[in-house]
Amino acid sequence: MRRFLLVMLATTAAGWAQEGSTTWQLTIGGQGVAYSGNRLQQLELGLGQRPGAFLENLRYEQTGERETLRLSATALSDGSVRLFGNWQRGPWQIWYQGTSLVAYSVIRPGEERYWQVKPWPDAAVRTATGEPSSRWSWGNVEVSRDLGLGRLSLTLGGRYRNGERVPEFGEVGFAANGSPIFFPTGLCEPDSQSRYGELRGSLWREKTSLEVRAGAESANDREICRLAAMGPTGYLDSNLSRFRNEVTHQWVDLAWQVRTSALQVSMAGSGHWQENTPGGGDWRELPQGGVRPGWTLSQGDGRDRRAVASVGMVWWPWEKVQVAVGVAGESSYQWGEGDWQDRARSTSVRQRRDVERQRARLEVRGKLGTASVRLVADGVSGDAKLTRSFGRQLVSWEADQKEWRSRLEVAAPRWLGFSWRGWVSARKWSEDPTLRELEWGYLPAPDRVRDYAAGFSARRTLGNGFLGFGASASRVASDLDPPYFEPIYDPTQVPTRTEADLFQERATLTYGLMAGAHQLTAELGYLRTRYDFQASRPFPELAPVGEELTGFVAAATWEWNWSEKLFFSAFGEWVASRQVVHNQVVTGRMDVAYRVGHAMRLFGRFGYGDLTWRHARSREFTGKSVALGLQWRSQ
Amino acid sequence: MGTLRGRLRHLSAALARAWPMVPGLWFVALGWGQVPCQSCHEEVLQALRDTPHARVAARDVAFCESCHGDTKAHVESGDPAGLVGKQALASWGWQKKAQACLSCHGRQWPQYAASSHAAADACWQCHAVQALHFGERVALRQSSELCGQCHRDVMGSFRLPYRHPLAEGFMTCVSCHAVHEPAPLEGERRTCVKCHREQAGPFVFSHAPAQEGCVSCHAPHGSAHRGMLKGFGNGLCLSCHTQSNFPAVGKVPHNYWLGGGGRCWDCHSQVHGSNVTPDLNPRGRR
Repeated sequence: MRRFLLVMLATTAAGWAQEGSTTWQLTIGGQGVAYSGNRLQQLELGLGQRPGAFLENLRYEQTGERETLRLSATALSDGSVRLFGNWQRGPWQIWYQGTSLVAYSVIRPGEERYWQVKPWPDAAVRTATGEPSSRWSWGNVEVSRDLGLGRLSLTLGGRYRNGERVPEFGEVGFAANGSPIFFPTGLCEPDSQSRYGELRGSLWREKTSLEVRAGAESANDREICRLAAMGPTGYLDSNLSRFRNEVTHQWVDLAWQVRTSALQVSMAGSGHWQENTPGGGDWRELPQGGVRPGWTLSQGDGRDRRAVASVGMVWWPWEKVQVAVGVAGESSYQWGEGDWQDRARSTSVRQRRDVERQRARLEVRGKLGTASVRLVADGVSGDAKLTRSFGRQLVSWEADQKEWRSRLEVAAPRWLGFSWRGWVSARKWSEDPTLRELEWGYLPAPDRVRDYAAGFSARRTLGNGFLGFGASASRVASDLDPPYFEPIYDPTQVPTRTEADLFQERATLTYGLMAGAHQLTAELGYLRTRYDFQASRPFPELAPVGEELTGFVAAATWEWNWSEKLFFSAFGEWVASRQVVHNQVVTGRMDVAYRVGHAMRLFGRFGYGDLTWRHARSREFTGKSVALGLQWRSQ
Repeated sequence: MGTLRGRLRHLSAALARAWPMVPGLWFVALGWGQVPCQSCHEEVLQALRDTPHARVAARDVAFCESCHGDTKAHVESGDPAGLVGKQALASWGWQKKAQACLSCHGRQWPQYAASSHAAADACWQCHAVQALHFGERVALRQSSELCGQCHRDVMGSFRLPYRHPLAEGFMTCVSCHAVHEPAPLEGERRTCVKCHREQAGPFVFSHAPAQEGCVSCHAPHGSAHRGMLKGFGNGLCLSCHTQSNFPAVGKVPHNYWLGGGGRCWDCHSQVHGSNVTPDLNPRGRR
């Protein structure tokens, strides 16, 4: 009997070994790049990478009866790296992922128009030279175990950002004697990191489930900015500022649910606690050498608390009708203070914000034949209180906030041969503040926003292809009463109600065709946004604020399996924005791949990218790239 | 004989379900543990070997039965009349369709019924039915490709110059959107600050829109403007901070600054919040 068992176990093990499979895939290559124009702009828009070797894909996969392992890695020539995969054995599972990419700042002093400060002084240009770039990295590992009646998982993750960035602002300030100071674009060095861990547990029975999540995060954000300070007559000095913020964050989420064949009831709650200690300072590096301190923020301290609770019910009165009702309440409290010191003057800075909100939601879904309808109505009512002070500036107010949203969606998968989706939505938001106290301050007054949108999309199969199209339009209308301010600057000017509208329209048309060895997809798109400021304009020639943008997109992909060994594809895209942003981007890519033997493919890629920008000639560029590589696959 | 064989297979599959550990393996080893569908629908089961469902499909007849109904009569007689076919499946309500998948995956997504995607016709509207039968890998399909089938306007936004790196493969739609769950109670802000930690604060002087939601100012799917801003110029700020005697804002005439072509954030650069000044202008008082 024992021998029989051993034979059977060996047979079973052999069966697993045969059933398990291992796959390797490796894609590597090298790239050459030729470009003219603004290299940073090319890098920022990702229209061409750096020249060099790249690992486009390394994939390993082992699948067995009991165990699965997947791993995928990418390392591009611009320094971007990506890794993800999972491992599973019995009830244990590990997921992991990590991404690190390089972001470039396009703006460089001397290339941009700011405040008519020309020519740019060397001191300002020196603040940002080279190719300012910052690295963003994030990733996490999740370890979980299936417990039969539940699941337990632990996630550990982190985030890191450092390097250089060129801020888009060009600031204005005032010297001690009251004369204006300009800060042209300079260079900032961010250095921030965070680490977090979350424990998640689920417990389920046949009709109930419970899920609890608890986590903690610790973060450090630091940034040093160096800006050249320009006076009306020229370079003054370099301004150096440092900001820091240390944050700890804890959270707990809880969700419970019970379900029968016709009813599901859920309760959920969430709590967040944050504490932080901000700080910072400002210095001047004088041209003749030496440093003169400016302001400092010390004794920074902050708290942020947020609690949300909700109860919801989903009810199926009939098989094809679903009704969902939910209510939620939210309470948040935020408080921060510090000691702002400028030379001998010390000022207390403080803000406190309390928000209480209640929310109700109704959702009805129904199905009639193949068509379905979804109607959602959502209302929020709240009360916000804010008090903030900075020296003799003081603002204290209390506001009623109301929001109402509704949305109707209809899907008809078999109407006129097309599969249709359509929707209309409306939103109304208002804030009505009651002023408690105002000294040397400013506060936006009662504000109402109405938002309407409608759209549809359709798709149908046409022989070996498909045709899809869609369009949407929206309008956001703002209606603002005159703001509160104290003291009144100019009593001859009496502000009245102001209205503004934002219109947005877009349309897309897509076509795809598969014919023998050929596959074609094409897309046309149109986008228009218009911001219309309807108030009286005392100085329209000085500060026009109306704004319009019209955008077009055309893209096409063609793939051709010439033979079993030769594959060809081409992609082209044209994106153009007109009016306020007058630029266009043309991108092209052609791929040729040739299969050598059973496991290997050789490939070549030719890329083209071109940016023209009427309003910012210094950002224009043209780039071409050639890449050659090979792909190997074990099966 | 066929009937007996079918019964034996049902029995062995049931035993394998009852004792998923060692005892069940005996039936697998004996060839009895395979699901009764396998002997006739070998091509479907073979194709499934390349999918995440491979193991359960080979082990548990409940996988096939979750959509096609009780297979016992069909196995015994060979008559497909009692099975739920493609036509019958299409006529189910979405709750019943969803339940076919949720009978196993419901533990993973207990709140799926309250999610906005529960209104979709069926799970396989996104997770293509081919993935269940013909070897297309669910997990390896780009989620952006799936989502784009319905959300075409959103995918169009990702063609704009300033966008999240979806096309480059560094993100997918599900990096931000929990498509199987209801909208988070705290709004979308919590999603954004997972990566954009510096903008999360807390700040002594928070900027209310940044607290309410990042999409007040940003178009996260894509924009023609740097920083994925919704607008190019000052209109974005003025949609809240406007008054009829503009370019005065509050009590301060901004004629000089704005007349020079400047933008609001040239001075009010700490738009997400400041620890230094309620004006969000850290260098305003040098």
